[in-house]
This record gives sequence, structure tokens and C-alpha cells, in this order.
Amino acid sequence: MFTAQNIHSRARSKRQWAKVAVPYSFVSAALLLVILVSFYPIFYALRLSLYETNYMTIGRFIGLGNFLRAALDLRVHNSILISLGYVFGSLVLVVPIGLGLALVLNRPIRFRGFFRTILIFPWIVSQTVTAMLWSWLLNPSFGPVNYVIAALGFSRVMFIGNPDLAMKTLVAANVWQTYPYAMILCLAALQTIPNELYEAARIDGASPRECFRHVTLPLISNVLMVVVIMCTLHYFNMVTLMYVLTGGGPVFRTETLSLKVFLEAFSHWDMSLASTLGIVIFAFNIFFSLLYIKLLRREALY
Amino acid sequence: MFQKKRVREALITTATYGILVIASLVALGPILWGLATSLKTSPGVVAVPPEWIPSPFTLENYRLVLLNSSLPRCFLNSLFVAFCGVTLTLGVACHAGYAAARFDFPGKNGILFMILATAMIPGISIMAPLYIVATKVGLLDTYWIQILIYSAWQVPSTVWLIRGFFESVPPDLEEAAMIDGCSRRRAFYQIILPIAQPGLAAAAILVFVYVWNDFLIGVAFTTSGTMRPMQVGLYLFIRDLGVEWGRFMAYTMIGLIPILILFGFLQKLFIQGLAAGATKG
Repeated sequence: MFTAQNIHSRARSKRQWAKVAVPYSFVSAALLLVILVSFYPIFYALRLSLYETNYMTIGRFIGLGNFLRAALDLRVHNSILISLGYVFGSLVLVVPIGLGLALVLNRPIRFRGFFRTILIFPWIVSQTVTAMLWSWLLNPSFGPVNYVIAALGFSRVMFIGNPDLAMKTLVAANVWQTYPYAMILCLAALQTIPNELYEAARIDGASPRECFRHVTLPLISNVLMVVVIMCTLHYFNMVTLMYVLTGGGPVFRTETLSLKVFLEAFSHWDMSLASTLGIVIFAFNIFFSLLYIKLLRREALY
Repeated sequence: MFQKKRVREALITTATYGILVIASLVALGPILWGLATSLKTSPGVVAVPPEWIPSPFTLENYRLVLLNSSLPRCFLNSLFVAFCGVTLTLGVACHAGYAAARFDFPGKNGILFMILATAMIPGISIMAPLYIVATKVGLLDTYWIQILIYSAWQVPSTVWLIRGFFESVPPDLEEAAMIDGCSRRRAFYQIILPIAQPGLAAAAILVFVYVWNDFLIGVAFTTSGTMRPMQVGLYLFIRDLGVEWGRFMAYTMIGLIPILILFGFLQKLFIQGLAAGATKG
């Protein structure tokens, strides 16, 4: 009797222990990994941004000196403007193209799955490959685009080498690779709109344009905001496409802030400036992520 | 009136197909042009006017690239890193995802928030410090540093994804098993994980494609040809070789093969909206 009780309580305490220990053991590896590879480096970046560095050795503490240096650096100003132009220029094209194609794909047509498959395709092509394919497509001597331009009687265009065209070319390549994201999100949103709403609007005498304006648009506005925020973050943070396609040139015309961070770190080995600008990018990301979370919360209320 | 409406409908249908055909050509054009180039002889590559259909048609570029370039090594490097990255990410994330879906423990929300919040840290912001740390601990130019970084960066979105799958499994299953004397741990490994296989496969594909397509970690954290991933090999190939576009496009096309194989699954994931968080840096 006594022993039985003893065994019983021992078993219970073991179970109690397992109840606490098992959950922690389940999350520990994930926690350790993100602390080592994400948290620690971002704090390290903060620290680097407050010190002078020489290659990889940390020197004197200079407080906000690096931020001051960045704030007064004309090339940093240039990069910020270039980044904003790049983000804005891409969004202005990606959102209408994505929404437009989603509207077309949402119509009851034949081969819908076939077209959808083809139209998604660029999204899975890497930024490196996108840059390579576009630079070959737009090659001044042998590319088909320049062949057509020449055949129409114009002079051949150096798309990447021309300071006035490099950014437009970069945006075009980016739009080509990322419009499927906007398209898929919009298509998913369109498919959740019940047909009865359109029927009701039509019975009330609404034209197709009025249907779009007063039924479709309000119902997908939240998804459009999600597309805008996610694309903004993606475009603002990306490096590979410009690094491979233009390298930031000509004359820094395509040197976005994110590309500048990469070049400062891995070409000029100025780790403190790279970290300082990295923190600026991080702050920008937090701002947009909070906006995104707020938006999702609002959506959840409906 | 009726006639007019029918004409309008026909016009709209024509316009719809017109838009779709043009958009499809733009979507596939750059890839098809690259594919055509890869199948051309050297004079064919620089022919004016450009040939969309290669004639004569040749596989010589593929032969040269496979036998005499960095491609085979880089391809295998990328496969190895992607395979290990997927394994580590999934191994870590399925446990955390299960804890998030089923357990209640002190500090749960804080810990989960910490894991998920790291998704907000852009890769480019921590490249410099990571590089210094990797150099100090002697992990620069190894498979390990690539695997660790990819896994850590993919863990938040994967935990989130997998948690959703576990939540869709009714808890009665484990409870029944545990009443029969099975431990929580065993119930997870032997009952829940097998059921969640489709979800794990989805997560695995997303991580694989992310690692396969990434360029930045490879270019910053590898220095030797023996460690270099595919995307970096591609970039250096053109830099070092210059104008050999035929061979270069053959390299590019071979790099697309794994993605093409997975495309069917990927498309499904995109349409279900599961791939929304699959981008970083």
C-alpha cells in the first residue's frame, strides 16, 4: 500500500517534470538557432555602428559618429533616393499588372490553368538568373530587343550602360520577376468574392466599371495593401538583382541603399558603415512590418 | 440590342485571350530566348537577325559546360547545402511548430514571438556582423555556415507554416495514443509527424527553392571554388569567360532544372497562399 502510493507519486512527479521539460526541449533548438544567427548579429550590428572599425577589428567608440557620417554622406543620400525610386517605380507597375492579370484570369475562360501556370513562372526564377536572362535579351549587339529597335530604324540602345536607362531596365527586370506574387494574391482575393454580389449590383443597373469600382475594389483593398507592403519590403531589401545586372552603375544610378550596404561590407570592407546603414534598413523594415501587422489585425475584425 | 451585346462579349473574350497570350510571351520570352541560345553554335549565337529556332541545333554547349566548367561541382554544392538546410530547418521547425500548436507552458508567447520576430530582420542588415562572426569561429568558406544561415533565416516562416498544419490535425489522436500509454514524444514522432507529411513536404520545397535560388550568402561566405553554390558559379562564369553566351545560357538552363522539377508542387503552394512569406533578403 505504502509502496504503491510512493510509486504513484514518483510517476506523477515524473509526469509533472515531463510536462514542463518537453515543451522547452521542443522549442530550444529553434530558439538557439535564431538567437545565434539573427538576434546576436543584429545586436552586433548595433554595436559595430557605434564604433570605428578597420577591416574586422573594432576600434574606438564614437557614439553616433557613424550615423552622422552617413547622414552627411552625399552618396548615402543618393542611395536612399535611388532605393525609393526603385521601390516606387516597381510598385507602380507591379500592382496594376498583377491586379489586371488577376482580373483576366478570374474570368470564366478556357485554358485558365494553363495560362496561370505560365504567368506564375518568372516568380521561381532566381534574381541571378533574371539578371542574366535580361542582360542577354537586351544585349546591344546580339539581343532580339535591339534587333527590333534597329529594324525599326532607331539606333541601338545600351540599356544597362546608359545612365538614364539603367534604372528603368532594372525596374523592368524586377517587375518581370515579381509581378506573379501580386497576381496570385489578387487572384486569391478575387476568388473569395461571392458571385451574388455582382449579380445584385447588375440587377441594380451597375455597369462593369461600376461593379469594379464599388464591389471589387473595396473587397480586395486589404489584399492590395498587403501586396504593397510586402513588395515594398522585398524591393527595399533586395541586393542580388542590381548587384548582378548593373553593379550599382553607371555612376551610382542604380546603387540602392541595400546594394550600398553590401558593397560597403564586401568591397570596401567598411563594416561599421555597412552596419550603420544596415540598422537604417532594419528600422525601415520594422516600420513596415508593424504597419502590416496592424493591417492584418484590422482585417481580422471583419 | 441583343446583337450589340453579343458583339461586345466577343470583343471582350478576344481581348482577354489577347492579353493572356501577350503576357505569356513576355513571361516566357526571356527564358525561351536563353534556351534557344544554349542550343546554338557559336556563329548561331551572334547571328543577325537573331534566330528564335536554333539551326543548326547543337548540344555542344551543354557538353562543354558539364565537362569543362565549375558547373558540376557548384551544382552538387548547392544540392548538398539545400538538402542539409532543408533537413535542419525542418528538424528544428517541426518541434517548435508542434510546441506552438499543442503545448501550453510559461513564456510560450514570448519565446514564439522571439522566433517569429526574427523574420523582420532583413538579411542584408546582418551580413557584415555575420561575416565577422563566421571568420572568427573559422566557419568562413564552409558548407556549415551556409547551412546554418539558411536554416536560421527559414525557421520563422517554416514554424509558422508547420504550426498551421499541426493545428489542423485533431488532438484526439495523440490523446487516444497517450491514454494507451504512449508518451507525448512518441505520439509526436509516430502519429503526428506521419500525418503531417504533406505539410512537411510543402515546407521542404519552399526551403529548398529558397536555398537553391539564393546568391548573396554564397557570394559573401564562400571564397573557394570547392564551396561555391550554383548561383555564384553562374555569376563568376560570365565574369571570367566573357562573351561565351551559348555556354553561359546552357549553364543557366541546367541551374533551372531542379526548380522546374518542383514547379508543379510550387504552383499549388503559391495558389494556396502558403508561399507568401517565402522571401527574405
